[in-house]
Amino acid sequence: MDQVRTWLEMGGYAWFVWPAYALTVGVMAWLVVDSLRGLRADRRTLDALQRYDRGHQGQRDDS
Amino acid sequence: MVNLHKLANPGRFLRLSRAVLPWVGGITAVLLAAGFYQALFVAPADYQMGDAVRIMYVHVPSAYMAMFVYGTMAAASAVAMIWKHPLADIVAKASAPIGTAFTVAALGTGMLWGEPMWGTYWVWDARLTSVLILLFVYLGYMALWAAIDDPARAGRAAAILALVGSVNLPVIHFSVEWWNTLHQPASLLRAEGPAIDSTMLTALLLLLGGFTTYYFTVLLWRVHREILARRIRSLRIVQAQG
Repeated sequence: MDQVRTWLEMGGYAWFVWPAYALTVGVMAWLVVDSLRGLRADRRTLDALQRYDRGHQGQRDDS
Repeated sequence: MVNLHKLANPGRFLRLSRAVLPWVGGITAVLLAAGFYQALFVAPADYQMGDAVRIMYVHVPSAYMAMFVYGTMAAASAVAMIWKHPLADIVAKASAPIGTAFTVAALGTGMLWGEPMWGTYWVWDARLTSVLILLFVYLGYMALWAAIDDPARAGRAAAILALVGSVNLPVIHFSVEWWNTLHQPASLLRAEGPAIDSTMLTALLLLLGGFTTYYFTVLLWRVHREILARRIRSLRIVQAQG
């Protein structure tokens, strides 16, 4: 337990080291989440548009 | 040498990226896990800086990626302008948010390292100032894409900005040699070779590798999004007219 606390304290620099790691890992994690969530949303939008397109294909061809 | 023209077809590109993604993603996870472990547990504290030196393992890869991603963006922009390769614009656009994120990380971790080491969060020396300019160019690049509706015109304007802004890259890299800077001179990319302890170098190289493959992973996802976005846009235009 003492070893863990020593490690967490980072020789007195904890207030600088851990925020630095949090910032870096944070932006990288945010990019992953944003990319994957956006991809899922875009796929859903495209599916909906393509379904609408197929549904109305007959009407457009007639005109 | 990969035949770029084979990748010009978005459908083919998506099939290829679907095959490649698990590998790139897997390698990224392994390199990042090994790198962070090495950085936080294996590498020793520094003789002068103590454990604050561990900030280097996130600061240096972030700064390196900020520039590497911009270089890729500029190269893709050149390809878009010269050869009109359809995916080049998309690669450039998709890269920008990733590069911006790394630049923010580089500046933030640098500030957190600067305060205990130099006694100041910020100084307007050549290295810090030129990286801040890099951030502004990234933001301007994304703003340009957002401001112009037509993707072709937006792409051309953004490409010009990316190419003009690339003059900043050698300025950033050589700033510590050309000017009297508070920021330390190069320890890795020097003519004489790296000047750093081997366990520290291992941590640095693992994370440099991991950050790079991470970029490719996220890039593939975001290029995929761009391709879908263009299909959505085309369908909406057609349906609005129909």
